[in-house]
Amino acid sequence: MITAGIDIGSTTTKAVVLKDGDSFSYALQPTGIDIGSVSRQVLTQACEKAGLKFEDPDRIVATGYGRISIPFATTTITEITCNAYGVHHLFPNASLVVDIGGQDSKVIKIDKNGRVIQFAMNDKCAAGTGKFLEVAAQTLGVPVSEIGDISQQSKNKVPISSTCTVFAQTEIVSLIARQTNKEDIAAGLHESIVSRVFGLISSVNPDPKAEVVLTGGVAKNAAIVQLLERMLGRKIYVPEDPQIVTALGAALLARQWED
Amino acid sequence: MAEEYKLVRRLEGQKRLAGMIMAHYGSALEIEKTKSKPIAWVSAGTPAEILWAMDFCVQFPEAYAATCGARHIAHTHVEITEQRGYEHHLCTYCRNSLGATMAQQEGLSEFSELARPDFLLVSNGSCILVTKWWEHLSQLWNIPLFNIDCPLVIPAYDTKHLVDHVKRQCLDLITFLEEFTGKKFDYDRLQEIVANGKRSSDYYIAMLQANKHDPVPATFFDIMGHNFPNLALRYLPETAEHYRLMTEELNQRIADKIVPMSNIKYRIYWDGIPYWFAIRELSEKLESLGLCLVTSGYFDLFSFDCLDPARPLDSVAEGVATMILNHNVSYKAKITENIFRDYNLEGGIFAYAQSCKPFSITMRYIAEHVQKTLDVPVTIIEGDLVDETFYDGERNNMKLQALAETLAARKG
Repeated sequence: MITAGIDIGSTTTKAVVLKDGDSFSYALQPTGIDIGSVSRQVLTQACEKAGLKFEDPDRIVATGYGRISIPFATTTITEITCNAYGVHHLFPNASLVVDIGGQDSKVIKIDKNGRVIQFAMNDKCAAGTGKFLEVAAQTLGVPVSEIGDISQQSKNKVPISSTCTVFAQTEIVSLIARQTNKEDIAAGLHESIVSRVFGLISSVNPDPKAEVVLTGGVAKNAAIVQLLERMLGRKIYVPEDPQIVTALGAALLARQWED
Repeated sequence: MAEEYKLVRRLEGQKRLAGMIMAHYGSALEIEKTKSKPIAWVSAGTPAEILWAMDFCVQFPEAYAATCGARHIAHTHVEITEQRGYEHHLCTYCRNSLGATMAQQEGLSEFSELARPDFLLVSNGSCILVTKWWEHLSQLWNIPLFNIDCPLVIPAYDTKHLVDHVKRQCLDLITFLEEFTGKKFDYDRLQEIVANGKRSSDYYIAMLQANKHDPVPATFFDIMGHNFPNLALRYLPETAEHYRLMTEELNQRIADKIVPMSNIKYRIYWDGIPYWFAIRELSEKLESLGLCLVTSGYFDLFSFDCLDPARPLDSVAEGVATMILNHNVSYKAKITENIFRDYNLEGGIFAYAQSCKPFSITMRYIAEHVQKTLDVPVTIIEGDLVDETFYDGERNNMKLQALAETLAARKG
């Protein structure tokens, strides 16, 4: 059986194609404003990488914010459930997932079968999400892909008191005006995100020995991983491509879908 | 849902309820015109029985705010308040009330108003901010305000002292009102009013308990509007009759195998004040997911189960001193746990209200308590009482769908 998962996030759309629940291929693209055509393109690319055509998947599960706008999906499942299954597939012993995406950060407690026990999400505000980093990087004039490395060069971290993205931007501008090093500002920004996420983690009361997996685009930022490891006092596991885990979970769940 | 059940969404009692609400607001406006009675604005958790016994017309600005929210007109009042420099994160019931008052005083009202008050009564048992809100109303209307102080009910302390403390203030209120109205307080009338309130509350509770049945005869959203008569009209004998008929109707629906929604899969608890403007949207979403709202701790605010005609003033004071919101968080968590057990609930939706911190602040603890103690999944959604700008429908829909998926995975 061929199944596909497509995760339409606020920033990036990801597709995973799965053959017999085993080998998989994937593709991703910025979401942009035309969700319908982007998701079709991404799924086509993922199919082509597996030597398949767009029409080949027997079942498609759509997830993420744009899940309800995908006419070719067999069904929709939330990113919480999909992410939990994706993580469980890659890390069977994981019992806590932290997912930091474009506009969401989520914490999911899962059982030994990958089922969701409890979850928590950030509120409507973008604090503690990829958007916060993106806006901060823009204000600092550095690429978002480099802001993590830059922060790790800090020698004198500057605390950022604003968790609101808009206020933080104003704070960064005033720090720049005072000729503060961008490395030190970046380090403060990273700490601000991680402390916000840490609060979310505490709200689900995780097992102190839980194996923790970090997913989502922000998991590619080594400084975030390091800070979170320091705060939690244990190793954090990061998948090879942390952005596609939710789409992978969707493709896995598509196999279980009863027609 | 099994085939043998019949779907009938609307309750017969809804029409009667609408008539009662319309008559309540309409007659108050008539009283304002004729000046036939003094009009009081009171907050939840105040001894309204004393005012009814003094023949006051009693209005509830918090209930009025909920009505404005449900009718999607609160934003007009809220905008007036904010245009005058009041802060966006202030309680939205308060912003609605201040805005409606300013509109009323400046002749800007676009909607039905609350009858203008002559007197204000507030208590800090339900909320701390409300006393400042009422203080501001007192200044805007230039009328007297009486404040009943209700210290938090703490298990280690003897509740009797708290009740005595509130009773002493009730006696002061009576003295004040005797001077204000020039009339002697009638204790026999108080007893009569407390007896009406007791009968009304007994039937109200019986109506709520019909939902212990599986499947329910009505959802929480269907019944919650019926809180209003027990809040504002329990002093009238016809209010008890309304609840008697409601209980009868719900029990008849159970006997006739009538259900209120088409897709009942899971019995769900609702915590918090409803997002009045989003009831239809939420109802449709919940129905599509099979999440049936069975009951809520919100009902406790309207149960008035302390009322006892054998000890009228004492029982009124006890009700005010020990109202659910005036209890510590462990007590509220235990009460919520008991509701889950009594109604055989499988999951919970906790509705965080961004502008109502006193109500929402303990929500996470209570949600966590039931989740851990009973091993049931819960989710905290976000919105507000009447301010639609705090509501993120898509995010809440995702959380509700995730709750349904978690419940489905548990059932395997």
